[in-house]
Amino acid sequence: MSDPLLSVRDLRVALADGTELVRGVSFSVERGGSLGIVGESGSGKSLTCRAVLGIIPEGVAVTSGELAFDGVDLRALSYEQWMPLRGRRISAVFQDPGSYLNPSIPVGRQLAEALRASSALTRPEARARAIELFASLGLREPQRVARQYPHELSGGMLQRVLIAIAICADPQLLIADEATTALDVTVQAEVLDVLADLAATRELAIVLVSHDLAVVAQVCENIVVMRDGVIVESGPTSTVLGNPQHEYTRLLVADHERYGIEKYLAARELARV
Amino acid sequence: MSEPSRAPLSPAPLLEVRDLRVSLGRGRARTEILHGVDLSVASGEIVGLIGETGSGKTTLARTVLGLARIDSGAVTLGGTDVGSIPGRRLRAFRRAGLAQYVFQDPLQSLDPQLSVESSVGEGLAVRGGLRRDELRARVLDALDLVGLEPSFADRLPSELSGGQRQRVAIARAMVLEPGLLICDEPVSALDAASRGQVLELLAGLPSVRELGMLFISHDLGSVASITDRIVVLYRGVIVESGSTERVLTEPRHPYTRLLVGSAPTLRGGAADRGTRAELRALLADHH
Repeated sequence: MSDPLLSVRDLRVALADGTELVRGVSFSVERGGSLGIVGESGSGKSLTCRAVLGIIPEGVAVTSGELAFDGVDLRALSYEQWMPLRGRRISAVFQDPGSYLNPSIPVGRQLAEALRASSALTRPEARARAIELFASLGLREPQRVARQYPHELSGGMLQRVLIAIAICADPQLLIADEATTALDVTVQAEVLDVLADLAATRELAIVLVSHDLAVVAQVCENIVVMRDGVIVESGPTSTVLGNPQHEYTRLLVADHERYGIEKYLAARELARV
Repeated sequence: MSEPSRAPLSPAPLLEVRDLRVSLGRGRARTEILHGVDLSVASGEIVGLIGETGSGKTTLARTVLGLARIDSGAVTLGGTDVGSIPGRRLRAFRRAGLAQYVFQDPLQSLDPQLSVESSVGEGLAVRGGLRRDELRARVLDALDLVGLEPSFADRLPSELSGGQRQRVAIARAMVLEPGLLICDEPVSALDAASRGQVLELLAGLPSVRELGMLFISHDLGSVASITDRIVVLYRGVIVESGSTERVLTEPRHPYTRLLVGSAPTLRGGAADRGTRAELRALLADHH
C-alpha cells in the first residue's frame, strides 16, 4: 500500500496558557479518498483542519505532532514554502462563501485571476477555462454567471464559485469545513453531489467537516468523530453508522433515528414493499 | 388516501390566517412576500411551518405578532382580528402576550446583563399588577416548567449552556401564559445532545398548558419529530399541508418531494439524483 496523501499523527493544538484544544488527533487520508470529520462546535474539528492548512488563528499554536502531506513535513514549512502548496495542492472552502469573494469584481474574473496565478494561461484562455469550470460544477448559464457580482448570486451558486476557485489548480486535497451548513437543504444536496462528483472523477481527496453525521455520510468513505479535542471513534462510514462503538457516536445516531426523518423513510420503504 | 383528520380542540382555531397578502419594502422596492396564505393552528396542536430561505416563513410569523402590515386577507388570533387593531393599541395587544416568540439564537435574544430571573420576569413586570414575591414565584414556576432549578434564577446568560439558554428563552415566553407559541428555528443553533432535550420539552408543552404552537424551520428533521401537521411554504404560497406522517411519507407537491428527497439521512439521500433533477426541472417549469 502506498503512503497516504495526508497523515496527521498525535496532533496537539493549544492556547498560549497551555490549554489544549486539540489533544492528540491522528488520522490519514488516501489519495483520491474521502474522510468526514464530525463534531460539534468546540470539538476541535476546525482547528485540526486549520493546522493542516497552516492557517492556525492567532493566540493558538500547534505544540506537537506530525503533519505530513505527500511526503512533505507541513510543520517545517516557512511562509514562502507554503505558497506553492496552499491553494494549489491543498485547498479549502468554508461556511460563508460570500465573505471570501471580492464584492466589486465579477465572479468569472475572480476565478480567471486564480487560474492565471497558478498556470501560464493567457487572459482569454483563463476566461474560457473559468466558464468551463463553472459549467462542470453545474452552474447553469455559466457565461452569464461569470459576468455577475457576488451579491447577484444565491448561496448555493456562491459556494460553487468558491469550489471552482478552490479546485482550479487541480489540488490533491480539498478541505470543506461546514461548506454546506448555511445552505437550504435542497441546495445542500446539490453541493454535496458536486463534492461527490469531484471525488469520483478527479484525483482529488476530500476532507468534509460537519456537525451533522448524515451530511458526511452522503459523501465520505471514512469518518472520524471528534469531541472535546479528541477522536472518539473512527472507521469506514458504514461501520461507524451501522455499529457505533462510542457512547457519543451512538448518541448522534440515536438522535437522527429519533428526531430525524429516518423513521418516516423506513415507513415509506415498508409501504412500497 | 384520506387525511387523518384531527378534531379541533376548540370550536374556532386559536390562530386563523385567511388569504393573507403581505409586502415588504417601500416604493419601487416594494415586493409582495406572501401571496394569499391560509393557515390555522388549534389549541393543543403543534403545526410545523417549513420552507427555504426567503419563502416568507418569518414574515408570516411577524404578521401574526402584529409586526408587519397586512395588504389584504385576515389574521385572527384568539378571536381578535390582528389587522384591524389601530396602531396605538398594537403595543397593548403585544404586551397582553397572547402570542409569544422563541428565536433561534438565545444568546442574541437574552440580555447578557440581566439575570435569568430579570429576563424571564421582565414581561410580567412590564404588564404590572404583581408583588415582588408573586413575580418571583411565577418566574420559578416557569423555570420549573422548562426543567431548570430555582438556583438558575440568579445566573447570567453567559453562565449557561446553549440548551439552558434556550430553556430560559422558552420560560420567558411561557411565563406570560400565551395561547400561541411561535418557535422560529428554536434548535438550529444547538448541539445534538441539547437539541433532543429542547425538542422533548417543546413537544410536551401543549399538553401541560393550554397552548398551540407554530414551529418554524427549514430543517425537516426537527419538524418531523414534534409536529402534528406540516405546512409547506414555497415562494410565499402554501404548496402543501397535511398530517406530518402524510407529508413526509407521501409528499405531493414537487417542492415537498424535493425537500424530503434532499434531507441528508443516515440511510443516504432519500431520493436519487435523477429524481431530484426531475423535481427541480418540474419546479422551474412552475415559474
